[in-house]
Amino acid sequence: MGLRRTATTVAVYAVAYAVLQQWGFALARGDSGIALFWPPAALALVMFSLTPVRHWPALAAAQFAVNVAGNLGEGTPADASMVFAAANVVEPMLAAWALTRLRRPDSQGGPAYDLGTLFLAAAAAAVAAVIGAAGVVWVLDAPVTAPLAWRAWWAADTLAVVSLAPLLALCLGPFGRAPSFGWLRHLSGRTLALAAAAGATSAGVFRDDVGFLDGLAAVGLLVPLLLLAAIVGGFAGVACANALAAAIAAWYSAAGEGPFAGAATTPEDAVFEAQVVLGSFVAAALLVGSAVARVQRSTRREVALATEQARLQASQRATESISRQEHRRRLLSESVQALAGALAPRMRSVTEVWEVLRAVMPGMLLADRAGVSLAGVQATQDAVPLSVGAPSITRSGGWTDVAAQVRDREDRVVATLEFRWSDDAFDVDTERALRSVLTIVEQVLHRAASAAAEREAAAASAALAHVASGVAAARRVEDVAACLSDHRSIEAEGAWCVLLEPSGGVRLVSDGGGLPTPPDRLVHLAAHGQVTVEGSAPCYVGVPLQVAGELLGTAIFAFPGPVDPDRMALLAAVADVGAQGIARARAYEREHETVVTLQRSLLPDSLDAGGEYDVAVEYRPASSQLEAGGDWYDVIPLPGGSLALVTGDVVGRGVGAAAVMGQLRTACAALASTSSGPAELISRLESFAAAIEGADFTTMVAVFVDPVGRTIRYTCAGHPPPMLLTPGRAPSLLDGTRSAPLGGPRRSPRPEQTAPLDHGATLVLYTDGLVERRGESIDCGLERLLRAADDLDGAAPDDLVHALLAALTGDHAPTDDLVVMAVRFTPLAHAVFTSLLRADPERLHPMRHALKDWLTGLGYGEDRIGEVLLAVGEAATNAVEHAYRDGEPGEVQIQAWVGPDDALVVTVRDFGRWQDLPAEGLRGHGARIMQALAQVRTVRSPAGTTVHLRFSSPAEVAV
Amino acid sequence: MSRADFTFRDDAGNGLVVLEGEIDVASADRLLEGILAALDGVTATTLDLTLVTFIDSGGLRMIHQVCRTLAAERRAVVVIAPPGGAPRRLLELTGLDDFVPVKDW
Repeated sequence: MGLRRTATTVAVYAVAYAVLQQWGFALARGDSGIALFWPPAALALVMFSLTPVRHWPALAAAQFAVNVAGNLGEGTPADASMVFAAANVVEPMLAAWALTRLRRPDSQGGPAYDLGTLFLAAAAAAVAAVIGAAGVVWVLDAPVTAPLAWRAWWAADTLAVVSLAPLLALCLGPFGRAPSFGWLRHLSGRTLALAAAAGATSAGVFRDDVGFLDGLAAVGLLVPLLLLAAIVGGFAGVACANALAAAIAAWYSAAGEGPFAGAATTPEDAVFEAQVVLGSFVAAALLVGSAVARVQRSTRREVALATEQARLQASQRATESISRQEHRRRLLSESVQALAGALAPRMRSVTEVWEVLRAVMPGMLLADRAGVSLAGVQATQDAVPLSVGAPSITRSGGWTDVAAQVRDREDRVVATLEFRWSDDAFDVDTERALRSVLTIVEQVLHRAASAAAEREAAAASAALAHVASGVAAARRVEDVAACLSDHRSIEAEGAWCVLLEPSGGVRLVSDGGGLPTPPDRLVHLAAHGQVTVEGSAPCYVGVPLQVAGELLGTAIFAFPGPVDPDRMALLAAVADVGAQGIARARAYEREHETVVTLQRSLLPDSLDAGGEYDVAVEYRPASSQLEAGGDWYDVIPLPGGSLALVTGDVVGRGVGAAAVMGQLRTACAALASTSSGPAELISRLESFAAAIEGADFTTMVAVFVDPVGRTIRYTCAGHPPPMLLTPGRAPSLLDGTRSAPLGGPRRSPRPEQTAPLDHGATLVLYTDGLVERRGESIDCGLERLLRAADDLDGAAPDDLVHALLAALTGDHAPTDDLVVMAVRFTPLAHAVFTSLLRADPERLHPMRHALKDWLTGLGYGEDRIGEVLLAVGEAATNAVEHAYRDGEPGEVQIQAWVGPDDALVVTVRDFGRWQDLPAEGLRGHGARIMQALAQVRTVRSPAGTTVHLRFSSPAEVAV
Repeated sequence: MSRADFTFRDDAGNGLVVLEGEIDVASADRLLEGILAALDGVTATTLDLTLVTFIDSGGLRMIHQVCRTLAAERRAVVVIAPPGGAPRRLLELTGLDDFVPVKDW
């Protein structure tokens, strides 16, 4: 609290005190000059009671000063004034202090308290009166005895306190707070009337000019009025009535009027009597008023308590009601959620949704009964639930029945959702929850229906894709039919494929699936290209297999029940795919036949080569029409009795590859006779192949066999190496000459290797179909080949070929073209002339004679012998003159035999190195002579030179 | 033993060389020397190949050599090779009959 407010409060107090003090002075009576009624005492008591002790000095000082000033103003000497002031200050402080001691914070008050308060106030006045009386008697030296002075002082203060303090206490608040008069508004009219009556009565009694209320007895009239005021108006009422009655009485008494003035002997006695009577009345009334007020307070509290209790109970009841409602709502909400939860995973099929609803609904929505009844139409597959209608609510007999109809696309009722509640159980919340349930059911049904539709569509497309992929991989008509008959993918119980044979017949490819074959009638109908549906369990559906209007056959499916239009569409699509597959397979088969026919026509008819060698060959076209064609083999007799053995493999398959093969084979045969060796042959063939589309990367192996010289030369262009079987030895691969296929990248000339060829040896040439297996290194295949040939070195070529085929391919149809060729070189025995001579011209003559004898033995004529001797002589002369020019003369080998075509073949072979070739001109006559008399082929190699001379048979010459 | 040989006869400046046997590279050089030596001083020569049983390009070269030498010395030369015989066939075969005067007998 600020100093300013304290000062203001103190100042206001001082002013109020001064005002009441002047009122008190005005009521002074008698010789003592002591006031009959001293209002400031009441103000001081109330004020100090309401003021914290720390502000008391300020209050006291202000009051002291005002009091001193007032007394001085009344003509009282200074010393007396100060004593009076001291007494007036001591009195309220003493009373206030005592009262704070009496009052306990938790005190509810009561009659004892009220009495105590009155007593303390009176006691404090008594103490102050001692001081005041002393001042009056001894300081002022007034003509009054001390007891009288004390009595007058005490009575004036006490009466003022008792009659005015309650009123002041109602008006004044705590220290520093402005006075409030709001309590006045709460006074009832009756209270005010009683207070006024008390005031008026007091005036009537104490005013002498009001005759009819004179006499002491009239004073008694105040008693009922004051008590009534107390009873009716409580503390406030009695405070008003007391103050009014006492103030008026004091006023007239001070003026010497009133019943006591006449009755008493002295004015002092009269005053005192009046004071005592008034004080008694007022105090009694005050006690009553206080008691009434207490009763009123307690009643109010009780009422308030009761009201509060009632309010609490009401709110509790409300809360309970609300929480019951909440609980109910929660149950409803949980019920709805439970339904949604149970339905959510079942949104895949409408049937499942119904099942869940049937299981879950009976306990739903706090209903007494709930369920779903399916309409008959639900049984048909095309009844797709679409909407849940608005619920119809009917109340009768204490029940509320709700029904909601589920309708399909055609607005047919599919099902009805039914609920029953007792009337009091069906409220707004239930209805709201019900609508949620209906919404959920609708959504779930909707999604389930569309999910089922989607799934069916997906299954249909998956089935179609399954059939399509199977058909795409199928090469043969039977495979396509098997794909079509794969009934599982289209959920049929069985499937058959009826094919119209090109010959006009009907072929039933039966799958069965445990079902009896479709009725003959159906097969018959199907063969006429109509979609037919027959039977119901099983239900047979025949769908024609047609491509571009051509009927190929019919696919027949068996289903356990009726077939819906969607499935019919799927079957039509499957049949369409199948028909195209069959058409394609037939085309493949035709092409395969074409390719194989072409291939076979392009390969050599017969390799029967006469007595020099035995040959066996096996060509197996790939079983798959797409893989056939492209492999070839050949045995090419070369001038001079040599042989070129060739196998090759053209990249690519089919007619194109076969055609390329044909060209290459022809070219190869033509080039072989003019090639010095296999490497040259392949190089020349490569140049030729460069102009043929599709010939690039052809692989081939070429082996040049010199049966007389017993050597072979070979090279492999991207082709697996040939195998050489020599009697008494392990099979070996003619390796070491691998190079790129035709047209492939190559830096150096093609390598060529020479190997000896023993009597009875067998060469095996083949294409990769024999040794290659999918997912396996070719080395494994070669290993297998060597193992298979291990003990076959003595076998005849025919047996060898079949043994190898059996060992390497088993009974499986080859997936790739396959060629195996075996060539065994038989010992020539007497049918050969051999002469080995030193490279000396002198040795030529004996050689000629020996040859002449041999030829004569063969029955050759003289002229013919002369020609042979001339040509061979020339070749031998060349060898003698040129082969060993640098060093020691080597040897020259001359061999002669009669070939399979009765042609005479002579080879002249040296083992040296020709430094210079025979010059042209005169010295070139030798070559011209040889060429004129025989087919000449000269093969040079680092190992030497061989000149092949082939003399046509006598028959040819004759022609 | 010689497998090829010749006889020479001088008939009033007309020399007759009769070759016989097998004339090959081994015998050609020896025959060439012998024949040229024998024909020294002879103005006209007849080379008779009728008795030759074998002749190859080496022999032919020798015959051609003889003819060329005589022609260079302006001496006449004629080769007798009966049709059907080995020498005649060889001459025709090699086209040498265009360069050498060949007579049937």
